[in-house]
Amino acid sequence: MQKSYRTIGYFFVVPALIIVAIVTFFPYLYAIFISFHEMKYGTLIGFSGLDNYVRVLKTDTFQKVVVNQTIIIVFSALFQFLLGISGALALNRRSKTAYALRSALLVPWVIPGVVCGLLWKWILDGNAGVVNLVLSSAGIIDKNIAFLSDSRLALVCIIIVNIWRVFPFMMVMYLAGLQSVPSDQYEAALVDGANFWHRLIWVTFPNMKPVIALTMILSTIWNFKLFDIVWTLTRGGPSQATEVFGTLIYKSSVQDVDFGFSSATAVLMALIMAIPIAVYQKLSVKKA
Amino acid sequence: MDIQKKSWVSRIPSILILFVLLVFAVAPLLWMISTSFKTTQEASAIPPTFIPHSPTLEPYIEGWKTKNFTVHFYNTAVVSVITTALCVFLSSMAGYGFSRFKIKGASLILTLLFVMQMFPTSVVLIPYYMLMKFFGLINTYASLVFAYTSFSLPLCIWMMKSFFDTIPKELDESARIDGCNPLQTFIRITLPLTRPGLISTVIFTFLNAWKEYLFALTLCNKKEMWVISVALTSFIGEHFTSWNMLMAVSLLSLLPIVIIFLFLQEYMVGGLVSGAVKG
Repeated sequence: MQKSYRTIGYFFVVPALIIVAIVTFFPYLYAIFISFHEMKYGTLIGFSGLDNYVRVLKTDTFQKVVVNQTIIIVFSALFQFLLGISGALALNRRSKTAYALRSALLVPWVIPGVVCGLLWKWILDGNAGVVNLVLSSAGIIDKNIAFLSDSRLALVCIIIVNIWRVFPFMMVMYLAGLQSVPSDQYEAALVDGANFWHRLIWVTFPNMKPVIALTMILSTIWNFKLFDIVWTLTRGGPSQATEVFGTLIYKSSVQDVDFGFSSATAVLMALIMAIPIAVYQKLSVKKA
Repeated sequence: MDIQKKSWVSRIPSILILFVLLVFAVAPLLWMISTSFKTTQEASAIPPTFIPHSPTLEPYIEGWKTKNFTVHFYNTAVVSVITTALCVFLSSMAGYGFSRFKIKGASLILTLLFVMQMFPTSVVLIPYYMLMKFFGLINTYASLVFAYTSFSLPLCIWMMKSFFDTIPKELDESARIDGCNPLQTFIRITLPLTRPGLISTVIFTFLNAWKEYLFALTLCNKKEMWVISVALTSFIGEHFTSWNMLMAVSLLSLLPIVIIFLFLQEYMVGGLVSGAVKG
């Protein structure tokens, strides 16, 4: 390639990078910078090394958060994948009904997080909620359950709402991925006598590895950052049963104005997140 | 996915799966619809009712009027459309650049873009607010557009890059031999082939911009500049929440999105032009 041809590449790439740098990259650097300093109500006092990090790691809230997040991530990712891929496989056709159904199934994703949280809070309500109404009319329970005040059930509820909200996005991604699988591979498989499951495992999934890896990475990242649903439903309670990184950071930065603590938590969260993501990256390398 | 026509019986598993998914996804929505037609009294009744005894359009009309939702709708639409256009434009260019050209430090940049996804945006909120205040951009569309674009760009760049990567470079080269410069190649040849990727980018960016709450709340706190998600929370009071109006207006705010998505379905047919280049 001549030099002039090569520099055109930069013309394509630089505008996007400028915006990202100004709005997110440099503020993030600033946040990391803060995490190593002592801050009192927004004023920088002095360098404090790893003090903030030690503080964060010592709290037992932090340990609770790690446990909660692991549970949320594993189960959310699993069911988001299952529901998303089932929807995509079932709806991968060009018919008006399929289009209409895709839009209907997209609804959970489309609802603003705040509304979603409030809607489910209303649905799961211990007194006036629909779930209790349905369960007691069907005779399954005789007393209303306060879902969001029970320390075990609350986490389950968060996971269900999270799955409900995200699986449509997975479905959309998988639909796009399904359409880029070369049809001649399917033809070859049919000639070889493959049935539906064979075709799924040997043709569809290998071709969709990049998309699946991407969606699982996204799911992991979003689950680590989960905030609005948890905040609206339980505020992290009861007694930290549903505390996650998002609520912890929000409470320490907006409520306690302890920016050193919140920045350190954010950095720790990013570091912990890097582990499963690195694993996914290794697994997603598409074999030629 | 399949070439051969499926028999009726083999469709049953799909239908069952779809039915379960549909019930799961849509039931809460049905509850929303039911609540939105109830009178205020019936909406807060214990135990709640499935079908409103005396359905009324009042929550819709009252809710829209009292909170002046036309303004909020307009704000949200402007911010979302501009953000989406900007993001699609920038990310498809950047994705193409990374896919086709040797950029110095490309893998570092891409990894950084990726890593930045892992940071919670709430940490950026305060510095960004101070930055916007410095430029006098508080309570402007621009502050939200820049923020949302920058939130969606990293992922969209990755998405577009992987879609571009699936298109053989030979296609570019034959276009180049035919006399196209890189920009023409990009616009006329490669870009149209990434339609599923573009659609996903549009959907993703538009929805994220439409639904966002935290930054919209902080950066556009004047009532005239509120977006829909912020305005909806104003239905919640200290002691009393107008559930019926909240549900009604929420449903109205969902309509544009559902319509757009229905419309975009037509364009989600993609797949490689497998006959164009045989390697």
